Amino acid sequence: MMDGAAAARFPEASARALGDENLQAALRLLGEGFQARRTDAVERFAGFEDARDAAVAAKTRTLRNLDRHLETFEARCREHGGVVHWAETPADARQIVLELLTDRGVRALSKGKTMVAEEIGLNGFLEANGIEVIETDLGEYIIQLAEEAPSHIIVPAIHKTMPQVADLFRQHHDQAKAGSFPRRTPADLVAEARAVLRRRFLEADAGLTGANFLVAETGSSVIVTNEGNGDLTQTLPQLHIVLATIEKVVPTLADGAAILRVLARSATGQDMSAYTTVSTGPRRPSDVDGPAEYHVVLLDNGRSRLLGTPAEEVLRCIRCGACMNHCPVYGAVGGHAYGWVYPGPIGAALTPALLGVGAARHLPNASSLCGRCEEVCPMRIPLPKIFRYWREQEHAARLNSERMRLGLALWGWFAARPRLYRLATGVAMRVLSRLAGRSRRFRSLVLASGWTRSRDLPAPAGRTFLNSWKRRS
Amino acid sequence: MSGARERILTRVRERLGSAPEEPAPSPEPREARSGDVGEFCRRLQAAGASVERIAEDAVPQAVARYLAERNLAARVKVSPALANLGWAEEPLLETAFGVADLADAAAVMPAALGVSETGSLVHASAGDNPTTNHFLPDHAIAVVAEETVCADLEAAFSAATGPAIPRAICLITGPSRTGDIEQRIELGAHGPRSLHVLVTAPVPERGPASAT
Repeated sequence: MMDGAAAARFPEASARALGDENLQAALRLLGEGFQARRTDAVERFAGFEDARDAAVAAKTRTLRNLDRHLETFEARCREHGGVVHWAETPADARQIVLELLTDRGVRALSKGKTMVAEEIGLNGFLEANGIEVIETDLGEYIIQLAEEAPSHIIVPAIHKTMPQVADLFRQHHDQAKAGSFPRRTPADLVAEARAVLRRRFLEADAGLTGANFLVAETGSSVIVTNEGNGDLTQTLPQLHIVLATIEKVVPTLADGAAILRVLARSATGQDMSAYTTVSTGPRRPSDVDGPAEYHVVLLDNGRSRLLGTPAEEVLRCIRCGACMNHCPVYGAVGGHAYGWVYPGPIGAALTPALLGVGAARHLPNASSLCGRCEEVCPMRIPLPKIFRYWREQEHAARLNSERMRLGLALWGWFAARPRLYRLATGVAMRVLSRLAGRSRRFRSLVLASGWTRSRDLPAPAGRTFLNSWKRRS
Repeated sequence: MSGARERILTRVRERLGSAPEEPAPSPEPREARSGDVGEFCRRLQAAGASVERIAEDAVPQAVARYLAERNLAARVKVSPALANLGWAEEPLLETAFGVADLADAAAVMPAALGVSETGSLVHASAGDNPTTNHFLPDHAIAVVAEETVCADLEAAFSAATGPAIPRAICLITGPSRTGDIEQRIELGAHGPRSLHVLVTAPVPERGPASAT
């Protein structure tokens, strides 16, 4: 389990990631994979920008009256025979889940993919208490075998190459039970995992899923998947537990439809994921399948504290992963370097809120503020603005280095004196331009070693922008 | 956790302030506008399903033909909601009615609605239409009437939820798939490896059945 301390080691972890050949091979696939697929999906759908606005409006409705929607959700869920549990902290949520399981003598729990379970460290806790946890999403299953954490929110094992997955299956699968799969192609491996997990779905006494959203007007939980593992998880066992954070509740199914219209397109580049399932309460008296009990654990874990702050817009996130799929930093270092559950730009915006600016201060700095994440975010979350907010908090709490503070103070002093600033930069640009000589680049430069250690610094043109502007008019 | 509920709701209210600006209301539920059946079929195919348009009294024959063409055993689990389709007319097709289990390679189940916007089937769980039957067998054969195809997700949700919401409403758009290994799309992760959809047209009274 990731305890959060790793988020503080981003610089070291990212340096290691850059030298990891398997990881780099896996990350190279992002461009032709997720990025190209999203671009195609958006180009096919003329109404995408309007759909984004509608999705943002749906989530804005959620957040402005969150208390009311949560109460409505609870009441409707109860009317349909469901039970709602409230948890303020990860420890509370873990305890609620454990008691639900132990009270019913559950030995094996099947699990659909849920980031909230990662956030609260559920698997380790349940296993320590004698409950077997069966991850059923293929990516989650792979990293469970590898005893690793997910490195992406929708493709947990994106950092693994096919030969690595084949090795894991060779080590862990009983050859007789798995049948003999050649393990030469991804299709072979998918077939092998299917064969191994098929029986396990039926053996589980309880199933746990997350929720892409909850619906207040009907008291339902909704999951969006492609594999069908989530549906087997929430249909076959006698007990279904839904684990969701409070900001996931939307007022109506029509609001949910607005989110569905942008979710799969942004995530996997599909117009619609294979399965979108609305679950409402336990099996009805006339039903012949479905769980006998339906429980929803509503977790706060810092969400309520974010309301009304400059970072509250992260609560609109629908966990599509588009920001990380398009982030040059994520694309270079992968998800593990971020050190906690949510990697990439959304992690850089959310983790400081959940773990504190002290533990996560590097993450909002792991961005050139290029803005690609905000451009692709279907929920129009102003991620770079939120990074800047956390950077200001870091500075205000004096968590950044003395050298950084000195540099910023010096720059601030100059920038507040426009004439002096223009004079100094004008001189510096001319001098640097002359020094650069014919190559027009610097191999090394005083005070710029951080830049020139890994690449050349292009020489300035000789005139500042303001000089050029004046000459133009 | 006693008190957690009150503490969370109180904190939310404090943070939102006493007079939160009123956002625009949720969109009104839409009438079940009729969708474009051709568009529905095209989108389902694009999502990896195979689609066949038949007369509503020709389901057993279409199922038998599909299994034969795929070299699958002539044996299906049929959701009880479809028990009265005249299965006896296909004596070589072995049928069983009820909930599917691991021994079932293929199952036939009804979809309550189609959605042309997305090419989705809407499966509504019921005593005679168990959810398990779609997800457990390798091959799913879904039957949907063309007159149920509605235009968009909102219309489908409002039609599927009233008057009593079923335990599970599943929008199904193609067979099971995964991209978890090197981002390559593979079919048949945990749900059905193949999805065949029989889109049925009403049989004109007294007229001969004709496949279109």
